[in-house]
Amino acid sequence: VTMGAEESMLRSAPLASMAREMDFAAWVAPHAGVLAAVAIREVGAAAAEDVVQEALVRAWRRRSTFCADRGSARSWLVAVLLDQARRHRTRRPALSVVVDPAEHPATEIDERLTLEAAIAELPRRQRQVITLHYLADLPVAEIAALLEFTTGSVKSALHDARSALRRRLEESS
Amino acid sequence: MTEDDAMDQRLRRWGADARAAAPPVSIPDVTSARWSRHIAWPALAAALVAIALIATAVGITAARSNKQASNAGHTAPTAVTPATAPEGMRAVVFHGLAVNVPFAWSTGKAHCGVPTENTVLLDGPTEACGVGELPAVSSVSFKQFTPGSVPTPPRACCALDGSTTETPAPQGQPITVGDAPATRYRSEPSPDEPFFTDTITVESHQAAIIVRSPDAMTINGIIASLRLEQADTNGCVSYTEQANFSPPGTASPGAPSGTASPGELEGSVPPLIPDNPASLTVCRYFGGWIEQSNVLNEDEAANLVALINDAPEGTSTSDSAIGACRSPSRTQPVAPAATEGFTLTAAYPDQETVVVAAQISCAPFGLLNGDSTRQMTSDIASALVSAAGASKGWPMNFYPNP
Repeated sequence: VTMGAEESMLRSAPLASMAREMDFAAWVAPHAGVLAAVAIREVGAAAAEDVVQEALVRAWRRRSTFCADRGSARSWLVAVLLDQARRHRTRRPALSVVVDPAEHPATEIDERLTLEAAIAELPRRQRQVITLHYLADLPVAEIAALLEFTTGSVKSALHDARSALRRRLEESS
Repeated sequence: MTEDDAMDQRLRRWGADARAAAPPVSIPDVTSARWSRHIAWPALAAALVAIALIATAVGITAARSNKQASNAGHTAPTAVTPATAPEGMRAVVFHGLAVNVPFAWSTGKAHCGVPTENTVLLDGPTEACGVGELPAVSSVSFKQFTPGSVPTPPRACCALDGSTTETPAPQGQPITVGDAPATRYRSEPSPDEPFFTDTITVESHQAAIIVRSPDAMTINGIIASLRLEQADTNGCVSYTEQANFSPPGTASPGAPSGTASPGELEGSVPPLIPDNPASLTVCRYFGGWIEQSNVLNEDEAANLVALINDAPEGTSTSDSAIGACRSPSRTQPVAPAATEGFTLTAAYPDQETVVVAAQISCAPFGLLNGDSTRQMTSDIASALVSAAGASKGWPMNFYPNP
């Protein structure tokens, strides 16, 4: 067997399949936590796991459509997740976010629950830009590409969302 | 700070907290046909096997090594399942560590210890020579592991002998392979070394595996298959003390009873291995750990059986010894860690399987089937070595043990 033929054989062998899976897993792993956190806010904790799994399988199947020139891996994965979450919401209503009291002091829990509740009450687009910018840690330009907004619209939505949150938190306190 | 800035800061803390509090996510087995849209999270997690476990530092589920404490030559082989690999691949087992490599990969294709094609290299002596440039091929190397140093693949400048390339231990990542603690060392390509290298040492198995390739995907695929196996592909158990037997009269549990003395009339005792076995498997062990094995064809088996049965009874000594074996006529059992030996498993359609232990590493040398012994001869040692593969500690001359 010549070296070229052997290399070709390697590419088509089960080993190559394993390697691709490994690479995909390694590629996804740094963003898995963000995907889970976004999913919880989009569809609720009970359904988040399934939605993330479905999104990752969908991402694997559509991996050829990812283009690094158009945005980061995280924004592409988040886009796939949001699409999957939208499909899920058409089937089942969303549930509320649950914060584990064991992991946070009482005052912090109160603050977080209040902020979570305030974010949850925002209009969908404002809530999404807040989630994508602060939780998924995506830059404005990538959020704009993801949601098909202009960057100005994203900045404006973020500003409006912060103002709305401030008002709601002041009212609740 | 404006009110908007304050809210911005508060949202950033919220985002960081939310990311940190996110539940763990199992990456799905994306190519599995078993996956369905509504598979439950726990069930999916159970199906992840290599991907998720590698992602969390190689916690690879596998069978534990079968540490047999049986007496030399007295017991039939324990029923173990030979290591297998998916279609298109083949399993390679060394000291109980196993990986899958493409079926087309050769074994032992190296020059001066440097792989010349995609190949598997087992620990052993290499030619004392150097090479100018490392071929751009992939390789899996298994080495005996000594704690305190990390074996490295041969370098282009100084590829003289696999045993001389060890360097002081760099920082490694603690992992587990099966239930065995291990350490992983990874290196990226450099101008001097245009290869990815992944080295994993498993002290409890006295073994290290080095996977080197110009292609990271190849390494990932091979490391994903790393596991512990109870037996190699020919059914040789990964660990045994059968290949290390003690001379008659010592306190070792392996000592046979009623062993005839050298010089007893030939032909008055039954053959050590009955003629015409349906199969004869030769397993080579070092320190009790499987290193190489082979299943002989009919002619090879007949020749080896005849050679062994024709040897005089008793045990042998030698004019030289290796490693920790300094006395040519020791009276105490030698620790199996220092010994090299073989087991020969002869299977028959109409009678019980016979297991013979053959020791060539430490005196007394010889072969034992549990009931009687044969002296080790140069011809038998040579035949065993060539039957199973490369060996350390050979050649040497054998003489009847006084």
